[in-house]
Amino acid sequence: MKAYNETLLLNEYAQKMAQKWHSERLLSTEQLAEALQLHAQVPYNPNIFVKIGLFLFGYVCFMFGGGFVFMIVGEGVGFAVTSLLYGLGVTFLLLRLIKQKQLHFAGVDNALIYGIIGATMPLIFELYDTLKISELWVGVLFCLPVLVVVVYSFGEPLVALGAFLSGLFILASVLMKNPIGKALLPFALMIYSAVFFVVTRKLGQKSSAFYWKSAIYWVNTAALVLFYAAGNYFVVRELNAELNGLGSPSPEVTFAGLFWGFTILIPVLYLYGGFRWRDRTLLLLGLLGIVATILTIRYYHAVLPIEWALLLAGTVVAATAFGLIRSLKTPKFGFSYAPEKDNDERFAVEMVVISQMTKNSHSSEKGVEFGGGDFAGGGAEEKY
Amino acid sequence: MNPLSFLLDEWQQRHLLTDEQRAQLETHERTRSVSLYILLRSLLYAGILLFTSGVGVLIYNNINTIGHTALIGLLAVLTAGSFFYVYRTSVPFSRRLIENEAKFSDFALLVACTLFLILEGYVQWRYNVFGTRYGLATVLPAILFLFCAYRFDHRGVLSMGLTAFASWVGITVAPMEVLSNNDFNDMKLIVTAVLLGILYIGVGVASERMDFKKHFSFTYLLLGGNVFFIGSLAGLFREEGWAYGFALPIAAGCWLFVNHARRSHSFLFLLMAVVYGYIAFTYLLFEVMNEELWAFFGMFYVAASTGGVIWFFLNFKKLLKNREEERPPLR
Repeated sequence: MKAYNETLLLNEYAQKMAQKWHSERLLSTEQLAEALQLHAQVPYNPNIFVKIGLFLFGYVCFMFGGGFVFMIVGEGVGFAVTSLLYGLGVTFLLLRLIKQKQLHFAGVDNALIYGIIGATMPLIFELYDTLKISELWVGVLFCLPVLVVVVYSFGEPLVALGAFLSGLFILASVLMKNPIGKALLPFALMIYSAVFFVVTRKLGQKSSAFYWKSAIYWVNTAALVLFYAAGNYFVVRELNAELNGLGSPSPEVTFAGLFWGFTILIPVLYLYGGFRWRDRTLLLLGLLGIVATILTIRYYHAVLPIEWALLLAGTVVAATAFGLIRSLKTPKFGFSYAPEKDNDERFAVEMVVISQMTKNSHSSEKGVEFGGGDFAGGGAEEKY
Repeated sequence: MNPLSFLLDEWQQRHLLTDEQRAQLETHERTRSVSLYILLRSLLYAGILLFTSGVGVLIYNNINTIGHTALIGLLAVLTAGSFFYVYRTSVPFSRRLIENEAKFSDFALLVACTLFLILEGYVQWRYNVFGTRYGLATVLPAILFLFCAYRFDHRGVLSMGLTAFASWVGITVAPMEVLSNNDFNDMKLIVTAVLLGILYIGVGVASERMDFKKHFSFTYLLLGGNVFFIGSLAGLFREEGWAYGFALPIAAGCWLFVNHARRSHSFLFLLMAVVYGYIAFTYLLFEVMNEELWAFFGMFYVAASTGGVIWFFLNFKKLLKNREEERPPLR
């Protein structure tokens, strides 16, 4: 059962596209008006700061509401059952709220979804306890159905990510039980993430999967990250030493050449994919992958002293960025360098960063030269 | 089939689009160019950061052969050069937002101001030019940054200037460290923080009312509001009897921020007003209430009141609408 009204989500998408095309003069004003009328009903989509507020207060409300219920009911029927009942009650409320207020990831619904999942956990713990299971992964396996149901009906991205990671944890725990499994672990994880990548990519192109759009995007990105990490030489070698208790320095692994190949080729592959499909996420991951690859190489075969490496890398990166900014003034290969719209979030983030930076450069210098370091800090005004 | 063709199908069926327009939209979406603005800008910043840290380490290792004087000279030249570049590419002063065509001008100003800070610290460490007049050493960058912010219209440098000015009066305004870095056990500091907050908020509101650098008011209100509310709350939490007096400025501040949020559609201020106001109100309520009563009543109060706040957030558009028409939105 889908908790959100899918038509509203499609309307939101339709309005967004219509407005975009209108601003690009591909739709006439009459067409825009008609489209907006056709897709008049959209979910309540508040500003990001209102969402943050809704999330915070929704979370506190859930917790204290639970506390209140426990205080009244006591633990008459057992903690786990009361908690589950409370979760069910909140689910009912949440569904009504979503319908009435036409919410879609407005913060409060996200908070309540996490809360409801949390409310089912005591029952699972109890089950885990009474069955005298000592393996953690079985417990995670018990949670997985809850997560899958929630992902199906709400399409919440963070829960989807949680389900993906739970599956990963179960797979890794099972494989680590015997030596052959341990040896195959990197390959198994790469296959796991590759399967998820392919499935989510295929799903993402289907209009029937539109409802789960953000969940699909998050899992897709996580699968890409995992795919690189599982094949990275540093991760494989150090984890191998760690899991088999081989101590440090970690010994060479078998198939070292293969993992070096993965480490170097996967980021290139991502960059190529990002270029082909004009996908910013892939481009970003490719760049981060290159950074990780360089760090991996440096870790085992440092050739340059750190300052010269920094200088070289800085020059290359800055020059590349500078050159690309220059050349993309006129769009090329489907890419451009066009400023995006300013908004409050960006100002707020920028301001926090800059203010933080100023404060730090102030206090770090003054800490040395004026002694005491109380310059930017408290109680300084007596000294002036 | 992706949602796009699904949508276009629907429009076509309802005769909202002609066949050729549909084809045109589809090719347009397929060949739409993707903007790499944020990616490339971050890459540029990262490259410069790497490069400068490389230079920093290099200099640190070879300071004995280079010598401090040469280094200070180099820094001075770089600072002057950056300021000169900014000056050359700048456009005349305006009370409004300036759109500067020069791509790297705003970036250069940021670099110049940061270099100035480093240079000043270095000179003081080496030659002790300011002696023990520490006040002068901090007020100097504050004045320079504020001047540059207004002259070259730069919000980033404005927040640098406001941070430097605050540290001149002894307050940390950097939002992540307002709490950890200020010693709010000190009454004098609390009063300073509240007054500084009022000053910043006042300037922010004034610049908006007088239409003088209206777009700066966001920075003023955010930095000032944080230090004002946290300072007042610290005052409220003191055990002394007159501490309740701080409830008044908090209430006034909340009222101002809610109003501002409504007028300017800047919901960050709405969030600030609600969160700080809620904390103050709840604290006061629990202070005046009988202890046995709140042991029972507390849970219920928090659950119900947070529910009320959620209701407010979901309905504030309706609640605050009645006076919306008075003034056109500012942003």
